[in-house]
Amino acid sequence: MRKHISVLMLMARCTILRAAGLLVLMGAVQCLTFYLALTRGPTPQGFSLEMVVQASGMRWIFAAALGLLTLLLCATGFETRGRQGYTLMRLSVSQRWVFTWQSVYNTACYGILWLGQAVIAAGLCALYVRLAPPEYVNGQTAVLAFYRSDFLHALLPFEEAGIWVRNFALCIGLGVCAARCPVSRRQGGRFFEVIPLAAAALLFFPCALDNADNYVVFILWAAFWTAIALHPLVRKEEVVHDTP
Amino acid sequence: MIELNNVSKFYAGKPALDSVSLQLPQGEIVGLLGENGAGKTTLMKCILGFLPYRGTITLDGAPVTPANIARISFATCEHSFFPGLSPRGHGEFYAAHFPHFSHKRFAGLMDFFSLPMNRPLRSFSTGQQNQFEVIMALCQGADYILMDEPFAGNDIFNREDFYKVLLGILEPNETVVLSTHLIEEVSPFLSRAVLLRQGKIAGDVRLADLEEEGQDLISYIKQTYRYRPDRVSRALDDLTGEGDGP
Repeated sequence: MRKHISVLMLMARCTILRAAGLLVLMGAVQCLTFYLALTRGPTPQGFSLEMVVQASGMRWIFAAALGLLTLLLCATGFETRGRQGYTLMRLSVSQRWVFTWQSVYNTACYGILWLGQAVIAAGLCALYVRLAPPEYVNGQTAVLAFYRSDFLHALLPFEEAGIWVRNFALCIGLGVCAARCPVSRRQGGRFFEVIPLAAAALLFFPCALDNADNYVVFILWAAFWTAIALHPLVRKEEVVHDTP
Repeated sequence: MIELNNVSKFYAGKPALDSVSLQLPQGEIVGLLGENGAGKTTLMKCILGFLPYRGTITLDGAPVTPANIARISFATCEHSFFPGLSPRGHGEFYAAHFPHFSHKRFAGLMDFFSLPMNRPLRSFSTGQQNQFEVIMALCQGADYILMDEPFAGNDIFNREDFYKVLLGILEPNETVVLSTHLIEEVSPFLSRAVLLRQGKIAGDVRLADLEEEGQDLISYIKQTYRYRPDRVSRALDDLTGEGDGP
């Protein structure tokens, strides 16, 4: 088991600081833009929490962080500098296990990003409740915003199980596809699986209440690309890179 | 013993290795010498199982598999370490996977080359990265240490230090296979030289035998390769036109 844990730790050690830094940076930028939107005060269109969330660009900052995290995770073992594959191929655990642990680690990273974003969003909602003019705030303001705002609802969908499943499928799918990327690169194959799934996540993550179309399509999309990423590994153990 | 029997490797139909048969017993320092493209790196990668090939390669009679690959280590000028990880992190990682990893040798060599333990490898200079690559290969407790141009980018003083350290720390059962172009530098401590040319073994000689014959390695290589000393002057004459008769 020590060998397996060491592989997991290797993945973590190579990226954990940058991933944590990315989360902190995302939070800092979101706090800043949210505060600016909040202090700008009421507009003719109103001053609801959902409107402040939208005006702060929280959704796009999250999308940027998701994209950067994907790049960071794909780069682990991608051999942009050096041939880490030579070391990985000589380990006492198989390449499948290396891929599995990298997938698990990546999935956890996406999960933490999602969780972190939910916590940051909840904190900013609490800030709104404290700082917004009293006529815009009541005891249900923050909770209602998580139903009314597509982005906040996608982060914390409460009793809408489909979106929970969608988000978990997305984390697993992105984790597996991002882990497939360096493996394919080392084996001299294509490594595009993560792109369509990440692009879908960046563009269509917000999800309105009772929008079954969104989460059904998303779950199928994530399942499809996860299967594509897993297929070569299920089919055969290893193909070594055949270049001089 | 590592034994290669009729090993061939083709890239796009062109032979990189052509029916190579070779025996590498334990306890030798073997120089794998040859021009660029002679097949040195390909030979090492085939031994390690990184490339598919025709023929057989065995380690003490058994094929090289994940079960016995830990007995062969590899240092390459392409670098096989993880740039985001520190030397300490590498030490811990390798110790988990290579049961005979020598912490003592690792600490000693890191100290000798004054390499920082806690900085990520990406912040090291190329020379330091080369040193670290070789240190990792030497510390894995492998019986066979394959080194592919490990000192490319290091200065002469650094390389000489390394040769001395290498000779000082090697155990009698450890075999080093060193692929390099720095023939004059490495010839004093090689016990055997294997010459590759166009994917074939062009020569295989023990340095002690050469010494008995009163020959040095460079002249043996020139003789084996049928090197023509007047090659450069003739080429220059052709280029400058000075060789043209009236």
